[in-house]
Amino acid sequence: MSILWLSNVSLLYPVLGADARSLRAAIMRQLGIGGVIRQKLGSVTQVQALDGVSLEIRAGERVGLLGMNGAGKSTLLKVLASLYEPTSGEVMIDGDVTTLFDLTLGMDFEATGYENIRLASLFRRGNKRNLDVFTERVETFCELGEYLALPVRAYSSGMVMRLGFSIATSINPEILLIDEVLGVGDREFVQKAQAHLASVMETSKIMVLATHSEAIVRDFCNRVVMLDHGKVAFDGSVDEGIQFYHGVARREAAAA
Amino acid sequence: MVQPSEVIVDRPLTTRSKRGQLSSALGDFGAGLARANTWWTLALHDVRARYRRTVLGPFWIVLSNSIGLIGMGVVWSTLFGMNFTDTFPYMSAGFVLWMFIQAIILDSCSVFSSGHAVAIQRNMSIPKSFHVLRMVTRNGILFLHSIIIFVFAAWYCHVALSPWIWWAIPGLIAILLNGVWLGLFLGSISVRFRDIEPLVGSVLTVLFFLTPIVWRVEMLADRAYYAHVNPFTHFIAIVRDPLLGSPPSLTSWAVVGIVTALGFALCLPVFAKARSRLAFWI
Repeated sequence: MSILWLSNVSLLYPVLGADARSLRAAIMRQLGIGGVIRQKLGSVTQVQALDGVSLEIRAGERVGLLGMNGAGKSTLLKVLASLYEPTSGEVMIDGDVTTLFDLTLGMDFEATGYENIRLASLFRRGNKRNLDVFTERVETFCELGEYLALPVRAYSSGMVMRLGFSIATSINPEILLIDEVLGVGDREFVQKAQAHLASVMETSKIMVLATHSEAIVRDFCNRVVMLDHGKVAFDGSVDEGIQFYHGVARREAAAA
Repeated sequence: MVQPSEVIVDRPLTTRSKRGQLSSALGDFGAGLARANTWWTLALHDVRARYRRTVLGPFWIVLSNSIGLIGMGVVWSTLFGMNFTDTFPYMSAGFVLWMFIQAIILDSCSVFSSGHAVAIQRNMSIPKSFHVLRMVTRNGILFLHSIIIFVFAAWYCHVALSPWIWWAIPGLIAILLNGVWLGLFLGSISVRFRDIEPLVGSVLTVLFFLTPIVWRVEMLADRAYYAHVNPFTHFIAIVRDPLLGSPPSLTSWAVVGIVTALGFALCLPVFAKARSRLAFWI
């Protein structure tokens, strides 16, 4: 039974400037020498990225995560992927999570495409027999041909995206988390990816997709969660969610 | 449209209870160990990747180090009027072990912040200790290449084999084990404080001269005390002595044992505190 469950989750994101990261600065802060103003030790600028988020996402739900830039969409996805531990609140994740967050995708850019396919399978505890099937699926879908034998650093960003997307969607993930990466590929590939994603979503139990594209939400999602200043501003059906999103966007534009 | 979140300045970091952090850190370590298959494969992958597009591959370390060593062996034995066949195997063993220890310490500093480790941490939920185990294993594999220099030196200078040689194996395991706490400790603090890595680099350069690697403790005569308080002397001795056919010193093993225990005791609270924040610092 796949489920994502968050209860009153808040996350403060520490922002380390060059100053906070330097050992000298840390010592100076403590000693108060050289005219440096003494600060309370351990105080760091923090951003409230999530503020009391409670969510329950059950099998069969495809959630479109909407919100302005900086509303906390990516942070929320990273909490759902267990990459960030929340500052307070409780998280429960049941099911294998696959992420499609950025173009690095956990790949080793010095390694070839084939090696990265093998490593990806290894990270996801794939066995030898699965690997052959997996490699074949990635090969046919990404259409990179002989490029797969070259190191990934030689790829264009569109090609990296093709490979990453193919890897992420060729493993039948139980829980798939996507942070708007679909925009990088060429149009032909994006169309193909969307068709493929539709079939993957049939098999994956939960999907959460952060995006700004209304069309993508309409095509793929059956629920909309909108974040505003790290809080859940809306949680409900796709149509109402998109309306709500437009309303907020208009107010923001009017206020600006 | 960028929407600024509320920025809170000068607020102490909210942290979970110490006990909770410690048990999460131990859990991380257990989960890391359980992924032996993954870090072993990645360590091998690293070794292969390092020498891609070279003809000699990993044996470049052997070649470049042996050229330097033969040069040093000749100069040193002449300078100090020592027998080349006595000095050369001693120096080779010491030098190879030092390179091994040095690489572990340097790699420890970048264990969480190197390119691939960052890419993994940003995309996959993998135990943090995984990165350390991968780094230690990689250096272990590289050491198995560079030890060939010593084998060659021992063969050339007719070093007699003795059953004590088996003691080198627990010695190497002790060094690898120390690599684990070093990686967790230096890795965690270097991500937070970016000065640590260059600092460690310069300290290591000095340590090469302060540690009996190419010279012998006896040469210090009445100042031998200084070599004995240096833990690196003992880490090298526990492997080098058996390789050269002498029994390992009990003192050296005692020092190594104490350093290992203290190291783990030191690294645990630091790693426990840093573990959940590494994702924000990288």
